[in-house]
Amino acid sequence: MSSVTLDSVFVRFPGGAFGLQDIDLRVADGEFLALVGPSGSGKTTLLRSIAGFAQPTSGRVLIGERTVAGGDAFVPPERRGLGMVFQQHAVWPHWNVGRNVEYPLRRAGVARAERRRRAAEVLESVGLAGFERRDPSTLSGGQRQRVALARAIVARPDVLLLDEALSALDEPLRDRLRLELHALARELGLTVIHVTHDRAEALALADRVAVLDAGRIQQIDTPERLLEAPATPFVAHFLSDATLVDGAVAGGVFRAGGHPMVVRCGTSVPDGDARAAIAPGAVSVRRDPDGDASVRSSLFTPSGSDLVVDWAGLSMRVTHVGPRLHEGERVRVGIDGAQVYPSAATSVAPVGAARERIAA
Amino acid sequence: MNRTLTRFAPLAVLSVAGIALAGCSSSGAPADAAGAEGAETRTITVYTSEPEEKIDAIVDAFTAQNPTVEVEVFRAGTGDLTTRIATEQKSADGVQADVLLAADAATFEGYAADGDLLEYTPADVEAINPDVVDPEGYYTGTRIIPTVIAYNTSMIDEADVPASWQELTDPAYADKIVMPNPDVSGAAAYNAAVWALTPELGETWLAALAENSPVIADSNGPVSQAVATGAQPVGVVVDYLVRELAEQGSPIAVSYPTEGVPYVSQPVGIFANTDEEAASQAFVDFLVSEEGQQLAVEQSYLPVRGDVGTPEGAPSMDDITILNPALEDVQSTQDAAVETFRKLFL
Amino acid sequence: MVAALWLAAGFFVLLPIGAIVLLAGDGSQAAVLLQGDVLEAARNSFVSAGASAVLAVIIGTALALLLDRTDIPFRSALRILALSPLLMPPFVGAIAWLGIAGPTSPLNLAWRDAFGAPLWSIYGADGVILLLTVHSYPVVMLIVSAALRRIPSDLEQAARMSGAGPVRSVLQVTVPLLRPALLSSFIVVAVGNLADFGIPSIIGLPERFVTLATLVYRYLQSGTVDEPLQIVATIGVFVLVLALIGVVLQALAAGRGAQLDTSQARAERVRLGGWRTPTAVLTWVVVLGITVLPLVALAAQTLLKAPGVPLTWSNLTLDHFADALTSETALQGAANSLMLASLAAVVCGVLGLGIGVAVARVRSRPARLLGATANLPQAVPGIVIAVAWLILAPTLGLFNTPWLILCAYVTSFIALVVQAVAAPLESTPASAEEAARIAGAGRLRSLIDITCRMALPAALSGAVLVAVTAVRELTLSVLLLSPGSQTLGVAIFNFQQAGAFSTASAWSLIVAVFGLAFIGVATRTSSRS
Repeated sequence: MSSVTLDSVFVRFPGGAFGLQDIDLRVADGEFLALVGPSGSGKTTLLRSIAGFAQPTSGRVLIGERTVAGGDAFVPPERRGLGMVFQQHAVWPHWNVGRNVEYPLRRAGVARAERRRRAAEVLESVGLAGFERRDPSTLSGGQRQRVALARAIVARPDVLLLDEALSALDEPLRDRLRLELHALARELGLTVIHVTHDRAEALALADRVAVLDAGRIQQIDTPERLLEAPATPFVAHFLSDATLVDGAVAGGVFRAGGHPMVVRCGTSVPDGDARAAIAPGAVSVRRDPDGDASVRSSLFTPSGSDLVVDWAGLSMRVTHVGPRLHEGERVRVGIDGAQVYPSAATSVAPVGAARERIAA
Repeated sequence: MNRTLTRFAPLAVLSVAGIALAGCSSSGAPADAAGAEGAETRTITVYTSEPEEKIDAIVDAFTAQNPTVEVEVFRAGTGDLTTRIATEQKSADGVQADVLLAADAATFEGYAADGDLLEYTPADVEAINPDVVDPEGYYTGTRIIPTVIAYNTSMIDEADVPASWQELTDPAYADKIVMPNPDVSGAAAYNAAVWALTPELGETWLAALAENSPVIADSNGPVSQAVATGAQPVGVVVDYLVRELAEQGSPIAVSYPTEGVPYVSQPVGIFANTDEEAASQAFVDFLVSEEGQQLAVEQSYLPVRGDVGTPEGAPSMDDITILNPALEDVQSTQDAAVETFRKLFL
Repeated sequence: MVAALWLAAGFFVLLPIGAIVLLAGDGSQAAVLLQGDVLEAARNSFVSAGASAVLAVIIGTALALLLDRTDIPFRSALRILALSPLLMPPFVGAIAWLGIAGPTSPLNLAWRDAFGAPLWSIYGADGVILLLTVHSYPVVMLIVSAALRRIPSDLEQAARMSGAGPVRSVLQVTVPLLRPALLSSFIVVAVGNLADFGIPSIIGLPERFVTLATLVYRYLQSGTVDEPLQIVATIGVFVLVLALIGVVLQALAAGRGAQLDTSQARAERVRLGGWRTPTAVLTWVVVLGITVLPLVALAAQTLLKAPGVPLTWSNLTLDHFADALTSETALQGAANSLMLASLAAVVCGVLGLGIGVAVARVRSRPARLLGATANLPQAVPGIVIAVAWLILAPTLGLFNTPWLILCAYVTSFIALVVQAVAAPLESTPASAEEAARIAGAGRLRSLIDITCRMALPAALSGAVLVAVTAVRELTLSVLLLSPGSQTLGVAIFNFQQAGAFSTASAWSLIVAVFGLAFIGVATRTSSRS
């Protein structure tokens, strides 16, 4: 078990574009880190840099105390002592399950009897006891992914890398496997780096979540802090579906440009142009035939309605608890609070949320 | 895993078979390799224009008598053989054959003049027709093969049978004649020269014949087939093929033209650069021996010895007129004659 | 590893092609290209290749549509039968068709007895075109069927929803989408037929219909020209250039095709309704005529007691068959063919596996060029490859040995294995090897353990395909043969040329029947796995 450190890592693609820019990251020993971001944000590139399939243009990658990439040093993937599970399981079709799982041990020169024993042990821990002789083509998607997982951990790696490992599975299966994965990681004390595009999954499983965009880490924090205090509008929008509104701050009050919205944001936000992020849960709507907003769409969820409300031309995502509102109904909107970020600043610490309810 | 095995099986069988066969066929290596062992079996290579089944039968009979000799046969039309020999002569190893058994004496004269042949007089030379034995001893004839007019009996009545070469130029025979190609058949090449040299025929006759647009098949085999099946009811072909087919029941018969027939003697000669002199000589001896000539008679050939009879239905040599111009004349004009033929007919 | 593969590929592909270009290089014999014979042969080659390609595309597409998109009965049997000419060597087909429509066939003889002249003699240009068509439409069928499978049935269904009837939706939606496949198969067939030797030789020559392939053969065999090798090399380069143009055209055509996502839905079959029975009958008649009738003709020719006797029961005999089976030459030829084919299969299998893996997995320029090099001979007509090796033979000490034929086989057929291996590999993600890398295998190790193993079944079936193709080929071995190393194809061809028709037919029958049996076994095993 060890930590993973990336120190000022830049990865440049052959075409000239930057895959990763100035990544500084330290994953603690035994930590479960999730990487999220939109497509093209660099999360897979980051993972592959750790794995050794992408070589950093500059910067260093360390596993534990060992420099595996950087300067002149480059340790190839097979010698980094990692485990990796791929999106398409990559279980080898020409070998049975047992041989698939034993392969890392074969490469490490472990004797046959010992190999068999450890393979059986690890198969049991993923819930596939006795599957050694099975042909992978006869297994279901979930079973194959578990075989891949077993293969990844059988050699007792320092770090486990998951590259969208659950994305190819259907929802109920993903749900179950998520729990098992989490439990297994805890049990073995593995350091896990999990790339996923599923925000809910990242927030649910990880000790910390890193949000990437355009090759940079936007924020890396615990799930609670990420939701409470997103560092940038992007993070707020990406993780919470917050509605972003541009406007200006004057004397601790944010006024949206060309829109009736007004939010108090406290004096810590400097005057000037700013952008506000309003979380769906921080909006309250009330049925009002004279209201200047109307419901655009109303989707049912077990925990309340997911609404899109058109307020004077602004489209807002709203989570509404209470009697169901229907398309076309006129409503009145109230903002419970917003994160406001000065536009000029590049990286911002979130400023205190205003909790006043403003009548529209 | 099972799927891989079932797919594996045919390839495994194939590779094993391949390697086994490679072992078998490479053990039949040409003569130069065999000499090194000093062991019993010698191998000679024979280039011949004899049809496959006939040369197979000859080789079988020969090896029955000479079990220590293996014979490798390469069969092609005489024209193709001479080209191959020419190509081989240009290469470092020289000619690969030990024995040449091909259609006409003129070809052999050429090789003898170049010094490519070994002088050898067969043991039985006394019993052989002196016309076919080379006075300088470089080659010996093995059969008498006249070229005759063949016709399909079910399509041509007795009364209309063409009786002379001249008759073939009659327009009634337009598109009804088939002949062999001198580029391929040695007999056809020889005959082209003989016709050109015969005073009554010559180039005028060839030109007139060309007016009738005869079909030119590759060699005598296809010609006899064409006549037998009636594709062309009249053909110019070697006589033994007609006899054979008639025996099998085909509606084909021979007409001996009044001007006379050209004939080739299918000589056999030994190449000077052979490694297997003794074995090659044994082969030559066999061909002109009594057994060898009896076999020839069984194969419907006219023999070169007087003491083995003649095939059924064949006339004796005295009964037919032979066109027999001097060999040197034929040899010197053959290329020109073939060229004329090519221009006229091909 | 890539370097080693380059060495092998260079020897088998670049060396012969380079040799032929070099020998023709100084252009001294270029004038020969303008000579009468060569021009006429070239024109004949073009006409026969082009016409047969057009006809083959029409027939092949019609059959593919009928079998894949309609509910014509007995589809699977029909498909196997329709594809069977693939397994019969073209020259065997020529021999067989002589028995059906040659001037001396029972049909023509009977017609002549009744009407005074034969119905139709297969000799000449028309016969050559017919036979080339018969032997190349299966390739079109395969290409078009594969393309049909990639067209999502949603497209036709959308047409149906928009109001088009079943036939109209097929004609107006499917067929235009097939255009790249049609063009591609046309080029493949045309280039292949351009260089065929067996059919023009057996069917064309008797009426003096000379093509480039038979011209080359004549030049080499009969010494009718000086410097035959150089002249033939010049002709070879000419044909090579033509073929390369064809390949470039094909690549352009393929690139233009619209990229479609594959759909999982099975295509709905058009109901023929009232047309079902007549269409079925017509198709069966045509297919049987093309595939079974030649076999019957071969049998008749073998069993007939003597040429020219009428075809009655009393005139049949097994003697010729027995003679043919005991013929030394033929048996030796068969043994040689099997040996050479097996060895070629092994060499191609190993080499092709290596090259295919390198092409699909090694992301470097040399590796991709390697694939192109290995595939290059597919565009080179057989005669050109044969001539190239003939030129190289003396320098390499291969002259007059069977290994010359082996080398020519490897050059010609390596592409079969490379494509069989590379195609499925390229659609498999690279994560299989990456998983091995993470598990501790080095680069080469992961390629061997994972990629090669995964590709092994493909390589094996490619190798079997090589063996089957090599065992029945004629063009290469007829030019490269040497005393004692005739192949079966050459033996049969020689029998035919020498007039031993019944022997030629007997062995042709054997080859054809074996081919059909093989295809039966092959389709059964592939449907099981």
